[in-house]
Amino acid sequence: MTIKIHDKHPKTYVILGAPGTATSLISKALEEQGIDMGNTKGYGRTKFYENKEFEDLNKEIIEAAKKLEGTKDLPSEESIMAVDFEDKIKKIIKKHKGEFWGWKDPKNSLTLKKFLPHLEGDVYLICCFRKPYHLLHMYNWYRNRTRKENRGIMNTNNRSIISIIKEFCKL
Amino acid sequence: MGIKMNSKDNKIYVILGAPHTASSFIAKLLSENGVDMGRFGYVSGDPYYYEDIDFKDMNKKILSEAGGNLRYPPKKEDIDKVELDEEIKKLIDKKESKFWGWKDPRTTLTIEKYLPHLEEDVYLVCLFRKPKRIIDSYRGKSGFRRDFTKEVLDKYNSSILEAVRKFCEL
Repeated sequence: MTIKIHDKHPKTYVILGAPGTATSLISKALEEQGIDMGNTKGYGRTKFYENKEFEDLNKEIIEAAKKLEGTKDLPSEESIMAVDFEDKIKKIIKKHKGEFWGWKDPKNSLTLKKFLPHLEGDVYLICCFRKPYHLLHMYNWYRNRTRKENRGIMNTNNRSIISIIKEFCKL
Repeated sequence: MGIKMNSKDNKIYVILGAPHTASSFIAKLLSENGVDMGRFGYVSGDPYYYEDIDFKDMNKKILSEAGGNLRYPPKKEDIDKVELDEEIKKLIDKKESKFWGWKDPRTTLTIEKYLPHLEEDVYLVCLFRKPKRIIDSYRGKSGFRRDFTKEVLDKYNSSILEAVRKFCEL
């Protein structure tokens, strides 16, 4: 049975996952199937098959939420939801939206709830998780943070993704 | 930068998703990117939904022993009670590829039976789609009940989330 993706209905694919959970592999594979993952628009190709414009906007949202909360750590979901970026979110979706399109930026694991109300049509979430032992091993190898901080980052991302899934699936 | 499947560690990719969430499509992508996604059945020369026959059979057995099937998911506590650990371990031990994985929608309900036996670098790729789209998609298929409801879909999705919480040690 041939798996067809380019049927008559437009589709949107959003990839979520903490860094190091194979999100780049999935994004690359989608791009190779002709899905526009926004990897080449405006900025040249990115290293991890991310959409640089979504990445920049997500950074802006997270920084604003940190400022609101008065923290240097990852901000809470409440703070992320409280900062006003509606117009910028609508604009970026309008700019990139195509028949078969999507995007990947690990920061969306924290911010996607803000985007959901603006994503119309047939939307798919691809959520990637990895065994904590191996993910933390990778974080400890590459990053200049304590084990406790790494675990905190992993847990914050995973909890946020679960919360996004619950809202998306209306559970 | 190319994303290379050249890690020195073995990797296992398990695809979880209710039917009609593009799980076959994602299985196909992984298969084409060097992940051994198992032994497929074929229809007209093409892999049948990229489902691994061996895991599909095992899942059917688990669900049947728990008193249900894909369309009528059994209760989680009944799945928990099924004792097929030895057979599951044997099935996993048979996999010899460095990068392997599998897809069968029933795994959405049975994944917790497998997790204790997956000792390597495991990835869960979990797929979700807007509920209305899935239900509409089911209604277009004559083989499925027209009354496939959000209630059944919620069972699949809740099962994934419960497994993810445990897997991620949350």
